[in-house]
Amino acid sequence: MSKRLAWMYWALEAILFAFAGILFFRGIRFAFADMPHFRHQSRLFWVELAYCLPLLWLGVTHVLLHPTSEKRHHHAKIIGAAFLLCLGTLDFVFAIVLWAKGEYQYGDQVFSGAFPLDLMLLDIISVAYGVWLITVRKKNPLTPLEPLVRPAVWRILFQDILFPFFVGISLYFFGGFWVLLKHNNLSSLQDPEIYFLFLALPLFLGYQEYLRLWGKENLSVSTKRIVAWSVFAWAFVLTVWLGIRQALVPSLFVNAWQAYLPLDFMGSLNLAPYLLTLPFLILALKEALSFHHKGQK
Amino acid sequence: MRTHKFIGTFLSLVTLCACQGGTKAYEIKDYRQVLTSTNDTFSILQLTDIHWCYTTKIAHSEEYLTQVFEAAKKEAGHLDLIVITGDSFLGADQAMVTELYRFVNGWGVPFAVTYGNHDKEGDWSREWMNEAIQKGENALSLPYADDGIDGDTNYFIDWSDGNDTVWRIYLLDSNSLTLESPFSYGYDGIHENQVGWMKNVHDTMNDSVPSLGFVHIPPKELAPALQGTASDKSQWILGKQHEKTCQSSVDSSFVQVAKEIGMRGVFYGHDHNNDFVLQDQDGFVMGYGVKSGTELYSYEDPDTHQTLTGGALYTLKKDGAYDLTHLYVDDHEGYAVSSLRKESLR
Repeated sequence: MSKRLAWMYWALEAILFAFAGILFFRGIRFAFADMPHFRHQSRLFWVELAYCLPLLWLGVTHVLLHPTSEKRHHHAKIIGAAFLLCLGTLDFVFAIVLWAKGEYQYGDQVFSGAFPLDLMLLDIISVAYGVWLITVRKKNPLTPLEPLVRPAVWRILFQDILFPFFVGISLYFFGGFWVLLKHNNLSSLQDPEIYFLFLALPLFLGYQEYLRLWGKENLSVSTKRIVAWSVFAWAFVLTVWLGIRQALVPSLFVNAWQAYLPLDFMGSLNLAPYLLTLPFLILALKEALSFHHKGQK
Repeated sequence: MRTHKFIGTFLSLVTLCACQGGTKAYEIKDYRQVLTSTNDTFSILQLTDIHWCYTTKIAHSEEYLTQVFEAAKKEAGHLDLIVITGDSFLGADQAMVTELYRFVNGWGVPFAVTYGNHDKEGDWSREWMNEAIQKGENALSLPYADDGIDGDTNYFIDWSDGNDTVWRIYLLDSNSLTLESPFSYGYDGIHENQVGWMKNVHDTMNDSVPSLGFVHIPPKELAPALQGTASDKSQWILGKQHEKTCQSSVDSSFVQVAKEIGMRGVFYGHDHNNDFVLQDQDGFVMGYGVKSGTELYSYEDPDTHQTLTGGALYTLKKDGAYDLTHLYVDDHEGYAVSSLRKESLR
């Protein structure tokens, strides 16, 4: 793959990431607003689904641009196309029906000025993307993720579970950061947001960098090792710093995170800080340690 | 080298962002609002737990709240103050906040807000919300984020007859959550520096006027008071309990000091399905308001299917007594109104 094409792919994913993050955050917030009884899902579910469709675009696009195996590439096309077509069509139909029944009003400001046309546009794009997937023949060169052969369980744990979870968190907090920017609330950007925004995004983008550069013969393992350990060090320092801040200011998360962790605060639980920090540290440590495996030069 | 520059820039930015502002000293008069009325009574309508969110049908909610307002005006004859005791929002955006306070301001009655535990859960900063509750010619709120006192909505309103203060209304921010263990939160309450502020108000004003307190989360003392009435409901004044109480889990001298400064009672929201009001062993009144609307969750009578929603009315008298009325406005077609009343509480 040429360097120019590689950067174009990276830019495409970055744009999709930003768009998906903004809408994903919005969709999750609507779902949380309907807790605990979810009485309004008949009206809201189709909106939430539409807001999550760009997430599907991002996932499918990522696997297509960086196929790790022939099998994975084939599955991404078939399964991705199926989901895009089905969900896009279903969501479009329900949007039309609910609009006709009066459940949706055009320009309902709770959603947006163009509602529900913007929601339907997301559905149409999903269907079009699904159709394109079925017809496209171009295949990108394989981008293996692991430098060494590992047991499948590690690959499943890190690549198929932890990494998508991490991407979801990154998307959600990027969307939250966008809301802060939109409402000119940067003065309220307090420590937790900094941690997740500045940790999650660079880690994610850094990981994308590995994918893009992997296979380049002139990039030494030692260079990649330094970058990997830098990312882990960054994650570690920020985690410790955040822990110290909360120990000194117990109300830190309550005052700064309430708008971003409604599930935790509705249930009066303090689980999110652990669920969010540990996967990041584990993922970063795993990447760093993978360059120290016996046989690596 | 690029990595070093990036890390350096990042750390600088983080350091700048971590810098917090200092505190400012305010005088007691900065926390005071005065409402002058020469009427024999002063009527307060308490609205609580309105809970606007992304699922709310704003037009319907406004229509309902108008019904509550009109019912209260009819019951009291005149309304002098509206107190909103928190949880006005849960997962909402700035447009909703602006709309609610524009709507309430449009009633033409002075209104005051104290925050609940959910009022931070939305697309706004603390500073923005503090400004929002002060907008409108009828807004009385005096939130201070930089006074070094926990919570922002700590202030008081005096009913004056033109010469002297007749009654005092304290509004205090009961904060939101407090870390009980590394993995769980409990409900917060009135902190000691807020109690100190309240005592300071009383000492500075140096008058022995009767007062009422309005907060969002019930004080911790509710639990023992409730337990004390388990076998004898004679200390119950009115209302019903339909859910477990979720009072503050923090120890605080708030109720003790409230009694010392002559507060007659403290009223709150938070537990939507409860509206009971009782007296503790010292005769101090503690009571829920009535949830104002059916957002999030509310109680509906299984037999009559009427909602336990509406507002609470406090009619203050010049002799230091007050009447308490719970107005129930059913949130179904017709908006049927009923009420429970207790007169001459002291």
